[in-house]
Amino acid sequence: MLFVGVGGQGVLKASDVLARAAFLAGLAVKKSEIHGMSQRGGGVTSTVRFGETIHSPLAPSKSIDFLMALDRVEGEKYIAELAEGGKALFIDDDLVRKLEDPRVANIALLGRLSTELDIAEDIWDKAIAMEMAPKFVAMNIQAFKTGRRQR
Amino acid sequence: MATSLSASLPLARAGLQSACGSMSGAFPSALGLRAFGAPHRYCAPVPKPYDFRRRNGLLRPRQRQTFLHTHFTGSDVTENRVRELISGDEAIARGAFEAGISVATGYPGTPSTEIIETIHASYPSIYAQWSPNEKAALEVALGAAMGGARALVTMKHVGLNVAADPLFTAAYTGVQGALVVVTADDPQLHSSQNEQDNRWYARAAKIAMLEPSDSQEAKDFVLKAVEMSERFDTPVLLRITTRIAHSEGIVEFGEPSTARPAAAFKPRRDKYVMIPAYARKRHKVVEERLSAIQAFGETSELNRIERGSADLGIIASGVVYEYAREASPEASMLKLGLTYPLPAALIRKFVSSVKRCVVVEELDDILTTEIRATGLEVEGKAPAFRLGEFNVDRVRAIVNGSDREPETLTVAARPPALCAGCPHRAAFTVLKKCKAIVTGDIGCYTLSVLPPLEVMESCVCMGASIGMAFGLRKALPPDEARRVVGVIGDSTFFHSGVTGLMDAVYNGATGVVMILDNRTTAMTGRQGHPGTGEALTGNGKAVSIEELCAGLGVANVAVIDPIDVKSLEAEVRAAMKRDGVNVVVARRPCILLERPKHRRRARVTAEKCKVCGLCVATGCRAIVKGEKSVSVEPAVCMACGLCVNICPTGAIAIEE
Repeated sequence: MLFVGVGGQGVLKASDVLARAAFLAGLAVKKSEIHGMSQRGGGVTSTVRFGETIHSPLAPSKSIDFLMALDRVEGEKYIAELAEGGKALFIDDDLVRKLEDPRVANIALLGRLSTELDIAEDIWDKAIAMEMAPKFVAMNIQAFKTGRRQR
Repeated sequence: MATSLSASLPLARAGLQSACGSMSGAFPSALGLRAFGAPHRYCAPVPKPYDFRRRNGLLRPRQRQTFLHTHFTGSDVTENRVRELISGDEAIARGAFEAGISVATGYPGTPSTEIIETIHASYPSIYAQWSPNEKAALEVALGAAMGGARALVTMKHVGLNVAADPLFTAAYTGVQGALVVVTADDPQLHSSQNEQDNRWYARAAKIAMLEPSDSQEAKDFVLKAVEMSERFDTPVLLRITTRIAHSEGIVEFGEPSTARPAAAFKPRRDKYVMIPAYARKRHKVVEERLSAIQAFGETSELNRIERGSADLGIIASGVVYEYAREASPEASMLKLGLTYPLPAALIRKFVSSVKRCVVVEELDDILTTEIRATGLEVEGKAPAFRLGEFNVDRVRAIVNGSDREPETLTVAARPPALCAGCPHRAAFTVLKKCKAIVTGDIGCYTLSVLPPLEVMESCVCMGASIGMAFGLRKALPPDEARRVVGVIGDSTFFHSGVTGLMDAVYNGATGVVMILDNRTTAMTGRQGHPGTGEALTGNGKAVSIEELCAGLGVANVAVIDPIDVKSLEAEVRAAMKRDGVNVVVARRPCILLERPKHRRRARVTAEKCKVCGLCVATGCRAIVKGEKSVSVEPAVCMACGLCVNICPTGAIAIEE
C-alpha cells in the first residue's frame, strides 16, 4: 500500500494504523516513509508492505496494490505505480460529508480499504486504539466504520 | 571597551520578550549593546518563555514511542516473547537498553535524531544528552568508556566529519568499557548537504564496522557492537542509512543486560595519553587488532552465505541485502554484517562457488575494489549507480549488468518551504532589501535559497557561514565586501559558529554576522541546545548568545525581533557601515514551538491594497496574489505580523 498526501492530512497516521493492524494479524510488515518536510508543505508518502515475508521496505516500481490518496494532486502523480489490478482510493466528498470532522478522512479511507483486506474488524479497532491518543480513538473508530460500510 | 560581565544581566531572560519597547533599558551600555526605541506598527505577541520541563520525554511528536516502550504491555507477547513494529532508530535505542549502555550522547542530525530521543523518552535508566556538536558528544562518550561504562554516540554522516578527530585516536586508545559510534548515512541526500559514504571512516580510522539490514538487526547489532568493543578493546562503528533508520519492521525484544561497569578507575597512561612514544606502540596494537577482528569475522554469524543458484552469487550488506534478496530470490547470497575488516577467506570461498558474482553496494565501490584487490574477479556497478540510494529496480538493473537507470516513475516533488509565521522569512526579506550577499548555514533557514527569497549564496557545512563571510570579504571589492553578511542559526552557532566569530575578532576583521535565534534546533524536530538551556538531563543551563559575543570581544551586538523589519533593516544597514565585528541577533521563537491559543489572522483591506507584491515577495504560503488585491489564507496564516509591517499602505491588519 502506498499512502500519499500533503503534510497535515494524516498520511503517516493512516499508514501507522494499517501497519499496526497487519502486525497484530500476525503478518510480516515493513513500512517506509519520508517525512520531515511535511511541516513545511512538502508531499508525504508512506509505503506499507505486508505478507508472509517482506524484504525490501520500498515497493518496486509498478507493484502497488492499493494507492491511498489523501490529496488528489499528489495521488494523480502515483497512479503509474499501480500494479496490474491495483486500485487507487481517493477521498470523495460523499465520504467526508458523513464524517464528524474532516480531519478523520484518512481513517475513513482506511475503512474503505479494509473491505478489500482479510483482517478482522476487532484487530482494526485495536490498531486504532494503539496508534491514536485516547481522546481521539472513538471518533476515529467511528470514521473507520463509516468508511468500511460505504460502498 | 570594558566588558564588565558582573553587571546585572537580565538579558538572557529579556531575550524572549518582544523587542517592541519592553527591552529598552535592559541592556547595560557598557557592553556595547543597544536597545531599540519606539515600537513600530505591529509586533505579534511572542509566546511566553518556552517551558521545556513540560516537554522532556513526555510529549514527543510520535507519542507512540513513549506509550509502547515505557507503558509496554506488549503488542504481541507470547511465551515471554515480546515483538514490536519499530523503526531502525527505535530499534537501536532498544538495543542500547538491552546491551547495558549507560551513557548515550549525540547531536541532532537526520536520520539519527530519533535514537537519542527514544532513549530519553523510553529508557530513563540510560543517561542521555545532546551535546553542542558531534565532537563534544563523542568525547563525552569516550570519557565514559574510558571509565568502564558502555557508551553510545549517534550522529548523521557529516557529523562524523566533526567527530573525526577524537574518533581516529580513540582507535589507538581503545576503551575500558565499550564505545559504539552510530553513523546514520543518507544516500539520496533526503536531508543532507552531501551523500558521503562513511564506510571509508572504518578503513581510515581502522575501526570495525557493522551494518544491519533491518530493524531487528539494528537492535541486535548494538549488542554485537558492545560485545566486540569489550572483547577487542576498540570503538565500533555501527552504520545505518536513512531507509533503515526510518523504515519500520518487526523486532523481537530481548532481556536487558544486568552487567555493571567496574567500580574503580583503572589508570592506563600508556593507553590513553597519546604522546608519540606511547602512540607508536598503540599503532602496532591497532594493526594486530584488525587481524584478530578479521579472523573473528570469518566465522561470525554476522556474515552468512545463503545458498541458492550456482550460476549467480550476490555480495551485499545493509538494506541493499534486502533489495537484492527481492530482486534475485534465486541467487546465492553472501550477506556481510561485519563490513570492515572484510572476511577475505569467506569471500573467496563464496566467489569461487558461483559462476558469476556481482557485488551490489550503494554509493562508493568500496567492497568491489577491496574484493578485486585480493585477486578475485567480481562484477561491480556502472558509474551511474554511484549516485543516490538503491531500490529493488535499480538492484535488478545492476545484477543484469545494465549500465543505465531502469525506467521508473519520477515524481515532481513539492518543494519544502519555510512555515507560515517563520521568523526567518522576516530576516531574509530584510537582508534582501539591504542587498546583502549572504553566506549561509545549515538549518530551516537554508530554505531561503529557494524562490522567491533566493537570498543565500552559500551553504557548505555547520558553522561555515561565519568564516566564509569574512573570507569572502577579503576577495571582494570594498563596496561589495561591505554587503557580505554571514547568517547562522542559534543551534548552528553553538555547534561550530563560535570559533569562526572568534577568528574574526582575534584577527581584527570587519564584518556583519546575523544569528537567527529561533530558540530551538528546528529542522531536526525542535531539540534544545545550549542557547535555550533546554537539556534532556532536565537541569540544563542556558548560554546567552549576546553575553558570549560580548565575552569574545565583539564590538557591537544588537538583539532585534525580526518581525520588527524597520528596526532590523536600520541595524543591518548601520552594521554594514561600521568597523569591527558586528553581530545582529534576530530573535523570535520558531512558530512551531508552541501552538498558539489565539485565533488571530491577518486580513487584507482590499480597497487599500495596491498589489505592489511586497508581501507576496516574502514567500509566505498564506499570502495569495489576486488581480485587484492580495488576500490571506486564514487556515495557513499564523498572524506573525510580517505582512502587516511590510505593507506600504497599511492594508493588512491582524484580527481575531
